[in-house]
Amino acid sequence: MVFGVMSILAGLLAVMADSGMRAYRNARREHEIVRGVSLAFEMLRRDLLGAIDRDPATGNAIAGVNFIGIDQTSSGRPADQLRFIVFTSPEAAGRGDMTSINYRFETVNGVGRLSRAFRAMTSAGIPPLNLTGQETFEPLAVNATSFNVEYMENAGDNFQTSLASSSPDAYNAATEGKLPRAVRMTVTVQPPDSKERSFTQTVMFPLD
Amino acid sequence: MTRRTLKHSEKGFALIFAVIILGIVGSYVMYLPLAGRYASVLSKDYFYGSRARYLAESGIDGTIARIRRDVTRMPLVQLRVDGNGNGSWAEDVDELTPRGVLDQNYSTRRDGLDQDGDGQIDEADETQNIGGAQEGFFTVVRDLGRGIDLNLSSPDVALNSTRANNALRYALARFPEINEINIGADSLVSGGIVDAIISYRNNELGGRFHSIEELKAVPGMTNAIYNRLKDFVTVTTPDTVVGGGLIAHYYNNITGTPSNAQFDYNSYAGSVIEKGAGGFKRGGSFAFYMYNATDFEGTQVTPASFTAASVNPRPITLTRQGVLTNDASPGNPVVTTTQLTFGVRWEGFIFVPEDRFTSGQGAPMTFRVIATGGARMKIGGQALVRTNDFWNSAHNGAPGYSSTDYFQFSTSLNDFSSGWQPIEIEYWCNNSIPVFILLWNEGFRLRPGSANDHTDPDVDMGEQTQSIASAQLGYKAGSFYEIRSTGIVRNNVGGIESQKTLTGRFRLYDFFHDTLVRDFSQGSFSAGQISLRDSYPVGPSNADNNVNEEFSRTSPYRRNYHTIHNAVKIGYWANFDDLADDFSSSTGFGGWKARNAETTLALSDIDGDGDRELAITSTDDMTTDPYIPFFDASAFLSIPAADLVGTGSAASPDSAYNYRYFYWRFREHANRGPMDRIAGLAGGIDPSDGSWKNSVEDYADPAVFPGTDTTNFSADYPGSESPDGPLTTTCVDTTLRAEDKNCTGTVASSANNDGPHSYWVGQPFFRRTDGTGADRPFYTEQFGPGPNGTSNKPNYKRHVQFRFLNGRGHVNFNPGGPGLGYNTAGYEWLAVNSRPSFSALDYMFWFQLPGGSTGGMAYLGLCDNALNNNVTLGYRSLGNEAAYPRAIDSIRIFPAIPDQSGAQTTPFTSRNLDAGENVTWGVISWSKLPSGTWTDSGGNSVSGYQFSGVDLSFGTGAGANPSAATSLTASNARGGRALLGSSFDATRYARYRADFYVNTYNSINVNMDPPLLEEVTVTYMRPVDRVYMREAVEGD
Repeated sequence: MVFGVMSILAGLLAVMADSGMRAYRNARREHEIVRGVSLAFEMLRRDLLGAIDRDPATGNAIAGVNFIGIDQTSSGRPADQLRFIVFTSPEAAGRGDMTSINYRFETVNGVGRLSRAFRAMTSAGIPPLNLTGQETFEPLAVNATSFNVEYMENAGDNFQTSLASSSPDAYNAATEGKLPRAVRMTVTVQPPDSKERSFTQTVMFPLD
Repeated sequence: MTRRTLKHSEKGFALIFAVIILGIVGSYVMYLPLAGRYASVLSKDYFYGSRARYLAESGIDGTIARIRRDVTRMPLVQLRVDGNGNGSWAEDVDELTPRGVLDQNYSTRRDGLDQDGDGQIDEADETQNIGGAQEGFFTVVRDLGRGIDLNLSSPDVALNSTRANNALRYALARFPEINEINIGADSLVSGGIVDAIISYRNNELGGRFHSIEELKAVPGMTNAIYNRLKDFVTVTTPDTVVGGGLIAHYYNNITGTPSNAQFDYNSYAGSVIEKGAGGFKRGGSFAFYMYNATDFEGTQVTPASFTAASVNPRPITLTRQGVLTNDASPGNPVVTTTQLTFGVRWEGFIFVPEDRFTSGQGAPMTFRVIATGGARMKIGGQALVRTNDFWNSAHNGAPGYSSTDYFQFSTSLNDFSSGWQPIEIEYWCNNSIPVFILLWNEGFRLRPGSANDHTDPDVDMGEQTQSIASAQLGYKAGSFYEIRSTGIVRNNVGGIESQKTLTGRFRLYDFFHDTLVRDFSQGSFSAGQISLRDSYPVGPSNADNNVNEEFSRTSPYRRNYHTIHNAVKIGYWANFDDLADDFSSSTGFGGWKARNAETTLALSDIDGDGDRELAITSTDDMTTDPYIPFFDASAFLSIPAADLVGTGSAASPDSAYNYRYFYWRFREHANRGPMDRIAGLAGGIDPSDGSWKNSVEDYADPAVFPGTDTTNFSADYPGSESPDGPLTTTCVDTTLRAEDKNCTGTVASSANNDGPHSYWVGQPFFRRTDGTGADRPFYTEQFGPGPNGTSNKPNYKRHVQFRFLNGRGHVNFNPGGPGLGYNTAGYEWLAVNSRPSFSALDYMFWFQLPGGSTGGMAYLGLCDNALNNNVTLGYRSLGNEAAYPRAIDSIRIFPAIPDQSGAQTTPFTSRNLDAGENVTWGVISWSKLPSGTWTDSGGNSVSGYQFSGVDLSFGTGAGANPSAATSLTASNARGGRALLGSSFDATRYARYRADFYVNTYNSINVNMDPPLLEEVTVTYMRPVDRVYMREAVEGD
């Protein structure tokens, strides 16, 4: 009988052990995913605060479009893109540190993620917003399920889901070349075996 | 095989052992779910913590973004809540939209040497002649914006007896281009390395050094060279944005002679803020611009225009330290036969580092001026160099003297509290080599804006890049069209906002104030013809309306204006200080000058007693009588009483004064519709108690005024008692008796080229104009009979009051007679004799005549109470009435209502903007348009006639007066915004044009307001100087 009791006890302990290990693993995974979102937001904030629409060396407006927000969906969920030019070095007044930054939501092997790629300035001048295709997108926030960007432009406008009114690529033609006043970004992530979580961050452009 | 049976004790041990094992395993297993639980909690904590942080950041950023977004377009009148509670709009704007207005820093210092050889290093060493060998002053030009400085006061720079000249050479050089570092034998660095520094700075660093390391990185920069330079290098606060400087107003000409030299205000050429060239751009010497025509339409005159020796005049280089020279080469202006005649006034604020009192607190700040021509300066409203000391007295540099000679003076600053004080420096050059050098003995800061706008340079302005500023150009206030270049409109009492002037309130119009947009002309009003001269503060604030301070911080400028036909009308708001005005030192009344319709109205310390008088002049008078104090008793009252009021009696009129009548003529604009009500009223001060009697025992019954009682005037002058007999039944008289009747279609006097409605108030008393008889003599008794006209009460003070109701009317004083002048040329705006025409909106002007058999014009008073239908008390003298010992302190100006002829299109109004540098003009927007401005007399909209509208055009250009005629941005719009495209990028000037029109005109008597624009806003974006990043800091 003693051994019978012990066997039951041991079985119970085994179940508890399995459950505990699983909870621990899930918690860690969730932590990592949140950490990924934090990283993505840090990068986004840093990049957006460096966004410019003027050549710091000349003071002239950078020709063409230099801030694009693409409002699109993937599987019915927001899967926006951001493209802009940043001036990454505050200490130098030259033009050598202007970089084209792209953020996008993508799905790789069935797993959604928010990724970032950049294209540095070359001798050819200020980099275009569109990448060459050779750049590598670094995954920032994995297990992402959506990436939605909203924009605050001029007076009277609240955050809008898109800079665009018609064009799919969509910047507001009237404010072409300008920056919005602020962007509000929402990233949702869903760790495996867990519920979806959303993070929102607003970044104000340092416009006067 | 032996089988061993376990003993009982051994069985017990095994059991215990198994239990222990199970217990250990169980404990570990029990730990796992707990650990999982803890990890889950921590993970959630991390999740919630992260999300909370981002939400908090989002809230802050989103809020700031909204504020900034709204500030750019929100009418500033909505911004009432001030962060520091002082109600300053300007501060609000600065707080909410930091523009990076920091200061340049100029300073001088003495070299600490025993200049006079007395064995002591003392004050005497500081006051050596700058032209001599022992000069002790050296100019240190420290440019925060550049990041590095050359310290010119170093003995290394000035090693020999010519060091003063060396310093001067630097001062005259085009610093901070650093185009010369070699000084005589004291060669610091070679020209090659100078070129390398300049090249490196310009090409690699965008025109600015930020650190010593960057300087070290200059190609060819060796340690030896760097060591020679390092003492002259000051690393300033990184990321400092440079502002500061002074506003300089230029006049193209000088009138008068050294005994009475004046700026020719009619030749006002333009103004700049003298700081780094191109506004906030770093580097470069001061820039200023002159035009060969006053309307800015002419050719812009720049120093580059005079590179050819044959060009006249010679170029002027204005350097940062306020040096004018006609030669760009350092130190040795070339004497030529081609000279300049011009005047410049620098205005702004100077920071007094510490209290300066002659009682011993603080050392005096010493200034030294070296100049040709004439110069004077004021700080804090006090003249440091009195008029005539170096302004009008004959001195070197003046005509007849050697053009190469200069004069100099030193002056000290005493009795000032520390802080920002207004500074004004004036300099004129008349056919001499233009040189103006200002030196001073210690560091101070300058800034062009008002003191209270100041942002301390020590404050880290943080991140800022582009500027978006708005210029609110037009504003409808009651029936006025008020131009507000900066949108700074303030109520003197918080919490009360109105679209018109209310009782005890005022609105401030801050012309030409904003450093971002200088609204320098009136476009189609005729460019440059409106400007403003107003006063410095004298403080303390007046308890009644507390407006001194408001004006003091926003009215450091002085402009003249010209009024022109139909374009401008001038209103003024009288503001009072508590200083009794002693006019004893005034210049006296010099007699009225018949001039054309160009008039200057000025606020100035005419009599030099420290406060200001409201003064008027016509332009031509500037040569002889610069300003005639309007409210100065000893001047204005010097009108011989006999000239104003005859001394005869009814029985024996003084025939010599038959035509020495005076009258007030109320004239409506021919195209502006009828004026609703005009009332004339006479009254008096009862000597028994000093109270005002609406006197009207004599002239009108206050109980019925404005009344329907048609006996108001005529009954009081029945029959022969009235000099002209009963009032006639003409429209004029009817209107006088029944004020609110319109006199549609009645022409009082076609001979005067009036509109259909002209009222001659006062004529029943003084003059017959109905053609039925000769002008009647005017005599004292007529003006001051006792109650009911039965007897004289000569000890009554006689008054005549007029009030003007309904804002569309305007009034023109055209008093005739020797005392007040007479205009035979018609009725111009602000015509002959410089009478200010003013807005007829709830104001009463009050002429008081003293009692007795002789009269004089004692006061001109202003009633700042709302006048409903009754004349109220509360008049205040603008002059020195005993009960209100105040002086004029400010004025304001109203541009005119657009002409309203009823035609399809009325004259457009346009305005020019100068951003000071090439900017990207963004959006022109307007929040309200003239819908429903056509109303009946009850203020109700008239159906079918609400078709007033506007065509709004906008244009930009590199020139100062771009055309706005070709780019229509909106037509018949009723509000909204027009977005400007990239074609408007990178231009300095912009102009908008608003063509107002009404679609229909009806002859019915509607009380039609003209179409007006409200709150037109143009945004623009400055070039990015730098881009700042904010590092994300954990826990931030």
